[in-house]
Amino acid sequence: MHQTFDTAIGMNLLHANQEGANHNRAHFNTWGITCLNLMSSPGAGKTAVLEKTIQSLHSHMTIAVIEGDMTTELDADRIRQHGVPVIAINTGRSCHLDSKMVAGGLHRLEQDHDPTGFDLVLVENVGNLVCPAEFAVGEHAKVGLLSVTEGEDKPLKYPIMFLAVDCLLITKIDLIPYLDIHLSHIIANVRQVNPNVPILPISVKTGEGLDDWYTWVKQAVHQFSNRPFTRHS
Amino acid sequence: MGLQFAFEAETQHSFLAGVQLQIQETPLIAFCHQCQAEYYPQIGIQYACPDCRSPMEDIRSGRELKIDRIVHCCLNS
Repeated sequence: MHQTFDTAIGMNLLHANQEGANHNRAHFNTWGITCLNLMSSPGAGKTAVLEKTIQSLHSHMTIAVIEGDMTTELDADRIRQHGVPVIAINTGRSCHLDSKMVAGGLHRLEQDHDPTGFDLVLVENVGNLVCPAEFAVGEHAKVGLLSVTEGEDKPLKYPIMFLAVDCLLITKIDLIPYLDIHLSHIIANVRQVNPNVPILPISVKTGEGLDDWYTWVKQAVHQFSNRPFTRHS
Repeated sequence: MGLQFAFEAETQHSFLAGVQLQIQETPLIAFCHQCQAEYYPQIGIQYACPDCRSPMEDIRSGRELKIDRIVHCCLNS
């Protein structure tokens, strides 16, 4: 005779991650740290933007970086050369950072440093336009990067990513003259899924637009850390 | 599909070998505040409201990742 076990679960698998993200956020708030989560496809320029940002803002505020990479520490090594603490998280088979991995990173930060001495933690997520958008890590704001070489249609193909971001950097704009793309088309496609997000076209190569980005970061830190920067120069 | 493939790969040669994963897809449904109506965005092509062209702001369905139920059948000797 057959006995059947049938039970309704209705469990949302992302809730567990969200609870971890809330926990991380509470730590950031206690420490007075603003956390930004940088997300893009591989090669859009996250590490290059981080390097420039650290160079420019390091004299104003104290920065630490959490580097998500599937297997290597190549990006972490690049960032370490700029004299800021870098916590490298190898995600292994996972194509995104989740809140539990970042919690592990925060424990390491706490062990090696006084976390209240930081203003800003920049998280460099794994290069991927799909999964990172679904997994909050406790950040105060999500920053997306889209390089002009990726094509105008990417906001339409990966709408959840572009819907999720609180600031979008369009990178490598110095290459536009060599491509059959129009900045206005990219922006129009972003606007279909995120009508109000600040869109900042930048070039790390020429420096164009970077001041607007630095201003956005400073405003975010003012808003979320809720105290003066640790350095005043 | 990736999830189906991963499920089979992870369960084979384990006590769960032969277990079936049934994935129920939910359609992408957005809500237009301007029109006060739901609509089906055309994925990859057009997300704005087909009637008034307002950008997609609210997703009402299609982002679910849930375990709905577990069904287990066994022979009672």
